[in-house]
Amino acid sequence: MTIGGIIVNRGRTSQGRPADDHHGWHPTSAHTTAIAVGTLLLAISILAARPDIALVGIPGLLAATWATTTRPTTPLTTTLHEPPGPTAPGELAATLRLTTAGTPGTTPTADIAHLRITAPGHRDTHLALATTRKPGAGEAGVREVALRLSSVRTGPQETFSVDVRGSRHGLWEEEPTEVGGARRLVLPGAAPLGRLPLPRRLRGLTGPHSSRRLGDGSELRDIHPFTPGDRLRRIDWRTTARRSPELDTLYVRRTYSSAEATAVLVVDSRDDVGPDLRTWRGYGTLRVDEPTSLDLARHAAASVAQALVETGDRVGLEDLARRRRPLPPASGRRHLRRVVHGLALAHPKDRAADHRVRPPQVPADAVVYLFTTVLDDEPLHLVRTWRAKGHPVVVVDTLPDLHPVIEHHLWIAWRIARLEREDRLAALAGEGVPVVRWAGSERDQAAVRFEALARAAERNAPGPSTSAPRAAAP
Amino acid sequence: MTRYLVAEWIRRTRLRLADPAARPLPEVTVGSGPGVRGWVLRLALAVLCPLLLLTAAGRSPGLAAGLVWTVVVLATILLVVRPTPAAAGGVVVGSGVLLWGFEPGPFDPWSFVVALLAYLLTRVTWWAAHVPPGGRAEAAALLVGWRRDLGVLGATVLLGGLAMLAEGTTLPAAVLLGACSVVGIMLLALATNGSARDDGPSRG
Repeated sequence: MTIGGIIVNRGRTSQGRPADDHHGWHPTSAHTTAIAVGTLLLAISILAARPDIALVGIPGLLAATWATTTRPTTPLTTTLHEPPGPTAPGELAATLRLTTAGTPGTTPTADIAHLRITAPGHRDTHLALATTRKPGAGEAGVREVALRLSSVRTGPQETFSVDVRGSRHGLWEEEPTEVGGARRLVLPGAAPLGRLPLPRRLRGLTGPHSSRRLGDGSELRDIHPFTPGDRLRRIDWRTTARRSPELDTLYVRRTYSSAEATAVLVVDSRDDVGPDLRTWRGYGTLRVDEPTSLDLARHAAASVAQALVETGDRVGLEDLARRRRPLPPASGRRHLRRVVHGLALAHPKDRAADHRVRPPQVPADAVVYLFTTVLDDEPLHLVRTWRAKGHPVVVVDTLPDLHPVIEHHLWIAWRIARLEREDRLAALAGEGVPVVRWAGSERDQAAVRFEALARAAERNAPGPSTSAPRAAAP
Repeated sequence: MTRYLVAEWIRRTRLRLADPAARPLPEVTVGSGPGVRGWVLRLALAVLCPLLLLTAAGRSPGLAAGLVWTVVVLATILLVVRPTPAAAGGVVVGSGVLLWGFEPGPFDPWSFVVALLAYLLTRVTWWAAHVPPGGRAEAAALLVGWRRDLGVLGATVLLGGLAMLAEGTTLPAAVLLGACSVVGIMLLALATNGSARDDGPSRG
């Protein structure tokens, strides 16, 4: 920290002397100018024998005199308070606390604070504030200022950097100080979804769904003669009395066992593209008030994960760009938080796809939700591999709605890329892979589309028709 | 071919006008009281500067109108473009010279108005120098030093009144006293105990 031109570290100058009373206050050029103007006008008035000319410079001289007699001695202390832990999109906020050691009315200290607030993707904000508020409006000598970013982006985000300079009477100024916010993690939000496509075969002995296997459940399968191993409490006495009045054969009610579905969310985080094609070249600034493809993928995946966990199903997470252990499928609120946290940390990595020699391993009988922009052939290969192994796949298209481009070469490049992408989507549709779009106005239709897919799968799926969410993806 | 080029030009112009990426970046939301934008302060300067110079020049009928208007326009442009204390000081000195008009004369009561406008111009210039056109100054911050400003202006009126009263007298002592008081104020203002880049009090 530099105070009055002296480098001060931990309260001491470079010579080791204490710098307690070095608060960096120095008179401004306005102070010097006021004295110079007053002196000059006084000289002119003497030369011209006109005292009224000197009067023009008197207010400035008086103000400079007043400022000299009230030299500030205490610094303006600034701290930035941010709520701990991760946050949600649109809620990146902090509180700037301006503390004056004394009361500006009695102890000479800063009466105005000049702020320059910078944040990535935002305009610089210049603001001049009074360091004290009205009496009774809060703690004496303390001014709290609420700050909020307009970012809708998710994942790790840089926050505020505030340069503060105190001034007194406009004639004394303090050396500027800088306070900065920490890098914060913005977790993706989740939109409510209805029923979702589920795998054809369900796993486990407990869960919210009825499987096609016999077992302990609530769904009636059939009435069957008693066999060794059947529980006595399952004997249906009414049926037995009707079918075997002599009680030579007992009948039991057999039910389908309950089961749970397993879903794996695969996030294609190898690229992160925004609606502005000019930023696709690797340079240019992505706007923070528009979601990118990765933001949409995080949002869609969090929504699907929440819908599945709420119905008691198991959800796992795979990140295509990172070579780390995937989150194995599990259920419960705590696991949902882990999934959302993992989604927030997904980000592109250079040539990450080159390291993957084969598609991510997926548990048996799991449905795969692939969140991708389909801008290259890799998703197509992944889908075909999973389907060849018998996994139903649902592709969620997370390419944002693009802005029109003016540059001719970009327009041509995008036409070619778009045609290739449409070919891939058409190939997926031809192979019976459902593609749900999750961008712009079509995001609102995504829940309806998922519901339609779930119903279509339910009609085609063998086994019991259940009221619980159960469907098979095509 | 020409039709295609015209259509292409119209398409590009339409796209350029409706380009969503060209809109300004969002601003950080700050929870502060009502305020004034920086461009309003510059607008106030554009009004105050001609007002001050024309008020001062109006008391000197001998000045050429072309010269006065040239000075007014140049000074206003300078202040609006570069609102620095030095520029404001130059305008204040200029107003004093215009008030003088290079002619001897009695104590002009309009000098009170000129002094008030000069002080107001100096304060607004300071604010304009510290708040960029897109920035904002809280209204409470603008009014922070109003007691001091009233005190300064009251003292100026008092000194001016005394000067007016002493003007008709032939007492050299009164004139000397007035001059000494102004010089005393100046010396007090200069006693800042340090340079403009103050390193604090000296240590033994």
